[in-house]
Amino acid sequence: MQEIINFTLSSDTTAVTLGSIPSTFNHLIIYGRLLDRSSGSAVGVSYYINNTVNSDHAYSMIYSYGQGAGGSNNWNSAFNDYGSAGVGGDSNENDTIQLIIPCYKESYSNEKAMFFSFASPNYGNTSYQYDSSGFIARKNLSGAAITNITFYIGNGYNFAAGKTKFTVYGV
Amino acid sequence: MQLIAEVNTTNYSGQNIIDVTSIPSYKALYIFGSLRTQGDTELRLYWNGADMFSSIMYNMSIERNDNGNYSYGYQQNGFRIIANSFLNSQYTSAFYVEIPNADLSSNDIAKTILSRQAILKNSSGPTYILTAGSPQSGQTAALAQPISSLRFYTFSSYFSVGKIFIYGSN
Repeated sequence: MQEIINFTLSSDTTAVTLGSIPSTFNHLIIYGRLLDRSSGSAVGVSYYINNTVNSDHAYSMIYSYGQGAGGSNNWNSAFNDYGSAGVGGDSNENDTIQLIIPCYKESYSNEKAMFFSFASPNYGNTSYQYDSSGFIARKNLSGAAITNITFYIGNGYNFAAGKTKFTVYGV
Repeated sequence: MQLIAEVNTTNYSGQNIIDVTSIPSYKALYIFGSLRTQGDTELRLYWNGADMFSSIMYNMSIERNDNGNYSYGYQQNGFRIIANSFLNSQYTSAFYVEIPNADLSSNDIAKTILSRQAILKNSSGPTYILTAGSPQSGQTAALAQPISSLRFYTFSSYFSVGKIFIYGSN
């Protein structure tokens, strides 16, 4: 496993693109630590690949949140959307993500399938959310390799500079 | 993470068994794959020459599909990597499997497997499945040894295009 990109956000922004991913590996593993500027509100964090921000992405996800017996779980519907989403923590808490993409460059695969996991403290430090999503991009890639990944945050909020970090590894 | 084997499943088209042998002893094994099959099927995993029809693996799954939401415990022959005939010829499914303690030889500790799959069955969206499993009944002496071979088995169809990568880590 070799580090390809080590990125720390230098100024607040709503989207971060990790680009110029080479096709010299077989798989990708991406870790992120996110902090947002949502002023205490929980917001959605999503991603898309290869600059395609339309219904060419689809995902379904399994998630749970809460604490102790008061937690809940959901098996969410399949969506046609920008990408796999997680609900971000509030502005006081760091979220952790992991994205695993097997066989990201293989031309036989029009649809690249990947796995997105998300751990998010939330709601006044008293509970957390764990969000594990499956995600498939299809139709638009036509067998192309994944060369860039964009993470973005909803509702007009920003990722926090200095506190938002991503590391991309090639396997 | 050292590459142990890279399998081009296209070379096994029309077959339903892929054996990877002479696997060195590692503390953990990682399997990445993406593939299609000739028809609807599921993909199962065995190791150390386990008898496919007598070694029972216990499989706990949580999954979501387009027909509804459910989770369940499951018992079957082999560890189910991709379930419920979600592999097919139209869409490429992917999987990622972790096998910690692959080098253990104790009869007291069954090997436990964690697996994630993202599967596209139709045009409405993907299916996502988490599974965990370990040998339960039918555990043989071979299964309790360090993993030295893996068998990938398509239950009711045959391999087509795709790749499977196996890595080891200490």
